[in-house]
Amino acid sequence: MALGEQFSDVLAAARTGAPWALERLYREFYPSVLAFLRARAPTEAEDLASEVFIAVAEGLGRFEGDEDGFRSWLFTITYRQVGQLRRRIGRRRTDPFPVDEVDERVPPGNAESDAMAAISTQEALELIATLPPAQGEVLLLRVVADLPVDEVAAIVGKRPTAVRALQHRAIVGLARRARDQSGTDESVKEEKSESSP
Amino acid sequence: MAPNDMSRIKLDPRLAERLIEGRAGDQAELPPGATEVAHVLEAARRAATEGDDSAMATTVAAMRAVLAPGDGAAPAALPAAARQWVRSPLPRAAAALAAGLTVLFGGLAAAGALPAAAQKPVADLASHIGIQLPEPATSEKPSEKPAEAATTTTSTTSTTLPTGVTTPTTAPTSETTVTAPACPPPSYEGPNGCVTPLPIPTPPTTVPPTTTTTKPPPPPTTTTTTTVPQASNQGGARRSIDNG
Repeated sequence: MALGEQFSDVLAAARTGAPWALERLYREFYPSVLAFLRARAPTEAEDLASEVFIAVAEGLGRFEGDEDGFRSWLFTITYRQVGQLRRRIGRRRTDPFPVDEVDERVPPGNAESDAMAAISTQEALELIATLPPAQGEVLLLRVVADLPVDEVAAIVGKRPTAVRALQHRAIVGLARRARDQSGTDESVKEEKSESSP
Repeated sequence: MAPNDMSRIKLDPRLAERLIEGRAGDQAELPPGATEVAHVLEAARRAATEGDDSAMATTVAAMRAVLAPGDGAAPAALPAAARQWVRSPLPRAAAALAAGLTVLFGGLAAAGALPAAAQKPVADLASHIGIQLPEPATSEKPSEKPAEAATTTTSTTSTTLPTGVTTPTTAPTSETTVTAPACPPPSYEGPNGCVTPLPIPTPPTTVPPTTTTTKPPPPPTTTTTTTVPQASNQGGARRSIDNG
């Protein structure tokens, strides 16, 4: 549910620190920020989300634009927060989620599509977290943040063609992981049926 | 990626864009592997709309602390820290110490009991604000001339403290022997006492004549009071003479 025409009023009130306006911004944008961070830094997600919104408050007086511009600006801050966290803990990926553990958490199903249809939001984010960082971030900015290619390119500092290439590889990789995961579920199911009396 | 992985999904850019935007369409028409991706992305999209108000109070409070710091929006830790700063006993102790030292040194300075090295600067400083304090002992050297009269003075000094609190300080009564001047000027001391020199006559100064026009004084006004005797009294007196 977008703020729509109310956005300018909400933004003006939020600049003065009006609690109702800050709560509207929180309810509108916090879930997507948290979803992005849960896929990129699961153990730090909530702390980072709070830091993002404090940074938003610090820069709210300087922001100029509409709701789409605000969303893009918000995820620029979010993306940078993840980058800072990554630099803090080194160049390795933030809390990579092993595929084996994902496999155990996916509910069993009779078919691959059934298994994926029952996937929870948390499991989906964890599966995306197994992608290489650049692919995962582009995919999350496109899907979770609902940003167009051009704005994602501006956020990640790449050209739109590079972003399209990254998201293409992300989807292929996601399909492979989903297949592997479903295949594991099937094999686990078969093992269980064979071991049962 | 293994070569056989690519064979699992036939992905063209249009399909990728449709999957990302949630417009995959009829799943029966999707190539193998695309259906699973569509489910995963749909679940991720749902995550962006799941409300989570558990951290809203603290996050909004932190944002208010940034946007309106003086509006009582500071996080709970900040007012506690501020109160702790106000309650600190250090400022009170420092103020009490300063007041005590001021009273102590003020009293000693008024009594002239400070060391000479300290008394003179203090006296000079106090003189600038209209407080007369005794000078150090160097001014109390006996006069080279024998004192003819010794005057005993009693001084009472009221000291205004610089802290804004006026504390009348009654210095201990000090008996100071002050050597009076031998002879008041312009007299001078002679062998038999003070000699007052005679005034030196000064030659008359010539003042240039000035022409002054003086109006004649107005003529004096004469006020004549005429008292008319009453006729009845006169007649009566005459009658009494006649009768006698």
